[in-house]
Amino acid sequence: MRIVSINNLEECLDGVTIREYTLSRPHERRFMEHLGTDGRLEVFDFARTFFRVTRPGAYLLKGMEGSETLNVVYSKFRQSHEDALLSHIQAYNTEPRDGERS
Amino acid sequence: MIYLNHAATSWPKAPRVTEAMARSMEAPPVEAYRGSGDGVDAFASCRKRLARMTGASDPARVIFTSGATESLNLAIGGLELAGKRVIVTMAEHNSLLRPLWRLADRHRTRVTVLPVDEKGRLDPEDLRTALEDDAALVCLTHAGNVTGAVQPVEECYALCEKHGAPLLIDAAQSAGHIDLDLSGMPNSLWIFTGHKGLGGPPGTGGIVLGEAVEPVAVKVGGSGIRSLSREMPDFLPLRLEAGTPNAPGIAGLDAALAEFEDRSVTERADHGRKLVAILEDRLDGLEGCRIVSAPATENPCGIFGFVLSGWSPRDIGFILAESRGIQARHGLHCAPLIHEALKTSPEGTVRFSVGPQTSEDDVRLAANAVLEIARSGRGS
Repeated sequence: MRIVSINNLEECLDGVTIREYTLSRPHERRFMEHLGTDGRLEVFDFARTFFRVTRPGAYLLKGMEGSETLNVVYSKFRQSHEDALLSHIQAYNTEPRDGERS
Repeated sequence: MIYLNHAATSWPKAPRVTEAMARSMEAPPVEAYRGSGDGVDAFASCRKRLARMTGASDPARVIFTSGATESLNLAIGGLELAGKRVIVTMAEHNSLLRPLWRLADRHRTRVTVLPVDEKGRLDPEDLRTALEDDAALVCLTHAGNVTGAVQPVEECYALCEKHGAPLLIDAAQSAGHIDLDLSGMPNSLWIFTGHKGLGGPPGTGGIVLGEAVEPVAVKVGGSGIRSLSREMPDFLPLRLEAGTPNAPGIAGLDAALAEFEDRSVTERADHGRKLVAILEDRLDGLEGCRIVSAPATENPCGIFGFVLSGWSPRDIGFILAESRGIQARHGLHCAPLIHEALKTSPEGTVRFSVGPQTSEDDVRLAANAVLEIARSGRGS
């Protein structure tokens, strides 16, 4: 997966860093599961599936199936946490596996 | 998209608003206060409409600014509060609190913060007690932007009057939703913004000054007349309106105010209450849902706030927007103190706020979306 852009988001909550990553492809179920290997994955089936990955002490990530953006809240921002997450996102192979339809 | 963020800014604006702004922009510029090139003196018209709406004694006491924040800075700065005491409530917005904190830090102004109850309501008895010590100003948000609770302004004014303290009424949320007659409140300042309940464009707002209140000019500069003088002209509104005025904005606000001839403040308030009642009906009693806003019957501004156990307001806002296209607002809403009273610090609340175009179906869909989230299981 390629990261197309990184934006800082501002909210009224003090002391947190919020990033929005725009990715090269919309989120699919297999990508959610990939992200979930880095923390605790929760999936909620609304009109569009909402997913959230929590890595305690590092970040809380959320996204919506079909969207290309990830919203990540770093409770105490450390560059190493962000670098690790970005590497993990980029490690996702967007090519379909055998037997999967693209 | 379902737009439920009218307490932040109204949308869409009425066609006549954008048309009036476009006409103002296209007309050749002429001298300020002498009408625009299309032959309409929007400044005079807008001041008259606002004076009629508020019962102000003289349209010249309607001062235009860029919005409630500038109005509050000019009013608070202009009342010369160094070393004096100011009374506020926990329901105030940062646009009022921050100018006061600055005065407290730099000019020894003492700020007394009165409590509010779990719905954001002030008990006038607390104000009565607080006024036993000298106060140079009392500041009261007319309707809270987090809970929609309406403060008893008339009763509070009577208390202030007894002690000779001016009352600053922050009507940023209430203007356009609650009628208030200022004619019996000469020692008051009514602060408004144009882009919320009044339906005007951003960048507009002002102060309606009671007859007994004369703040000094904090902002000075060009006035277009009496240029040889070192001082601003000594008459209102010009004394407090330095700089080139926002002609397209005021033209838009004037047009927005004309909308009230078709649909009155009372009708809008009834609409707000009705839609909040629908939300209450659907969500009150839902397991894990705590409604923090004022009851529908006391909620003319149409503000509905809630928290959902196990879900952060941020996640709810995200899901509503991304999954259902519902634009709500989450967080502290720039009113940090009230969340202590509501016990919703530090993450705040989710807020639905309705406007004249919001339909019953819109709020039913929003309520259903909240039900869906609540029933999906616990969040974090």
